[in-house]
Amino acid sequence: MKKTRRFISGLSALALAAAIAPMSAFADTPVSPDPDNMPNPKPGTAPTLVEFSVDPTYTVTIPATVTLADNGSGIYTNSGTLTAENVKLDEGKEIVVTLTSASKFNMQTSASATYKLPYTAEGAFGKLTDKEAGGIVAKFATSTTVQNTPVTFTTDETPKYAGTFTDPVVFTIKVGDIVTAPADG
Amino acid sequence: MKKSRFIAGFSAMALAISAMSISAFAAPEPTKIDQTTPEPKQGQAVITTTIEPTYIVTIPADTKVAFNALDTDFGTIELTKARLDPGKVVRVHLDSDYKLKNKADESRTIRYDIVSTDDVGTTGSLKNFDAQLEFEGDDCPLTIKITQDDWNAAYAGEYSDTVTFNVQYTDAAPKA
Repeated sequence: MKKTRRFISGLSALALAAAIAPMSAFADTPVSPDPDNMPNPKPGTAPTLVEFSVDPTYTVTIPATVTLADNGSGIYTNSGTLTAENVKLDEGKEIVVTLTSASKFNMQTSASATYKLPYTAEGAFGKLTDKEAGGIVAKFATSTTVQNTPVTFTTDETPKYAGTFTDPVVFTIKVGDIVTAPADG
Repeated sequence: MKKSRFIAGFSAMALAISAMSISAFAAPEPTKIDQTTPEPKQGQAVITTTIEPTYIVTIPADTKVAFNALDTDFGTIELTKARLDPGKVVRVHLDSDYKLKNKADESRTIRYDIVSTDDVGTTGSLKNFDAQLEFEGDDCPLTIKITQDDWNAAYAGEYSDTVTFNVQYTDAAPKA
């Protein structure tokens, strides 16, 4: 009888606690001392999950125009800078920037022009030799400091004609797993 | 003649520079891509360069014609340090009445002609066509021609004439 009364009391306490619990998706867990060991109850415990999320953030700035100039040898060259700020990524992730050109890195004075002035792009990992596919020109890791990577564009030959030559290129930004180059040897 | 050659080249360049100033416009802004940018996260940049047209046209120096010479080498019109806009050429027109005039009596003359073949393959008297030069190294060798009959009809004395070379930067003539 006594055990039944204690059980009923405990059940009632739980029911009462449930009734006054806040209406939320993550209800509080009531913790009661062990009633079977009164007056020296074992401490009651219950796990509480503490969690928060930090969304990845970053800003990558791409130059609008890179204007090449004669280096004195009849070759035209100049650099534009990719800038990454406030980069905070998941562990093991990095920003990868690739560069492509629909014309395969050829400048022209107009869409109908016959003559094409070839040029080469060079980023943090050397010259892009596959002009059809382009390639990676920069990578940015999580950092509180501003990161800058220059990309240099250089004509492959002395221009045959005068005029204003242009070519639009596309920088593509992706967040991917950090790739570690295999050790030499 | 040298002076007219230099001015023609400079005027073409000055015209190109002033045309560039008129077409100036506000520079486009850099592209900023962040975590909220929709996929694909891409930004475009324009790679550009402006190359001004340049050229030097070399014209022949004064030439002496030997008595009774039917053909006399008159040097070469040559294009050097040339980089022209696509579709443009340097056209050289010769201004002359094609008569050597006697210094003692200018009414006494010897007729002559200047013939050549330019780099687009036009051959003949430069009375009838203008030399057309397009690329570095293009040239137009010139020959002074005087017929034997004209020599036979000539009075004694010293004769001379001035040929003016007019250089123009212009559109290429349509190809036949």
